Amino acid sequence: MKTQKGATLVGSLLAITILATTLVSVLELQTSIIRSKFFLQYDNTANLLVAEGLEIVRAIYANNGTVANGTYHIDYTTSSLPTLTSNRCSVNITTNTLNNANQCDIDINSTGAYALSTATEGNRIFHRFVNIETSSTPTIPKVTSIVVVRNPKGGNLRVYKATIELYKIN
Amino acid sequence: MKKGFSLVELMVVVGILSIIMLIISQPVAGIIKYQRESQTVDNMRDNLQFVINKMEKELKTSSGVTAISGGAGLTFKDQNGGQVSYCLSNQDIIRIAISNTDTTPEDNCGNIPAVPDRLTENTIFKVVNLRFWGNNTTNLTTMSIRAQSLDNKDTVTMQMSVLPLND
Repeated sequence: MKTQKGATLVGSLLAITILATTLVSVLELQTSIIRSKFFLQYDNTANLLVAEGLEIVRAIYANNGTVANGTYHIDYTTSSLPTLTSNRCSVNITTNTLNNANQCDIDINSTGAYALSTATEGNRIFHRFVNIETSSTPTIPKVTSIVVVRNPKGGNLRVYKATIELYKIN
Repeated sequence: MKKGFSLVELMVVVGILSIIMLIISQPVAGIIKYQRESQTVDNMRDNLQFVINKMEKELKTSSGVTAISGGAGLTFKDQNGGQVSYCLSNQDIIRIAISNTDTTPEDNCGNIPAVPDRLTENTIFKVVNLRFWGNNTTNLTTMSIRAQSLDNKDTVTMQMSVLPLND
């Protein structure tokens, strides 16, 4: 007598388990993509803030004719580089940490502009500082504008930066 | 003897499958909704980036940059000597170019042409805030644009500062 054998319950359950595992993996991948999209949505703004940092220093240099070495926190209202103080905001790329973040918080103010935040809370998305180093010969200031984007829900920081050299135009 | 599924076995399998589908349907729906919304934000960001770049490029070679309409507009002389204004009209950013040689900046935002040169399109997203600031000491001109999706759910703000070369 010929016996035709179908799938057993164990076989079917195994198939479902494999299917479910595959679906869960796909969902986890999607969730991870969405998480990384957090940074993508701020890409354009962060790049513009980097460029703005350079432009602010360039304008100060064009007006004053000189800029002192150091790390500064500036925004579009800055007319001259502020006096340096200790414990200023900095990013450690190796340890992925942002130190004294509240000192360089950039946030939208009441007039709708991204500006240095005066509030004490240091848990904002954008942080910006510029670093100026001047070579001795020839004396050309090199400006690096750094914007750090931080996900308030935790995770890695994303750092955007650009560097220019300031030349005097006669 | 033919052996296949029994009714009970089939119901157990369908039952488990239904529960799995039910569990994963909610996150899948969320992902689809998120993708749709992020597409809208992507479009807004790309458009605003284009507008900011265009304005930045023009301002770099301009002179006599003056904020008008209480900071909601800007007027300047372009490299050919013509007067150009950026204004917010009907939730769009518009560019008005007038070929005159007046040295006095005029508030052209009060006199919008019938068919203005639109830099944004309010059928895709709306510009809810356009602001310009001038730094009197450094001559830096700062522009900020805030746009909102048509369903008011997403907002994007972009800002750029420019030092006009001819000021």
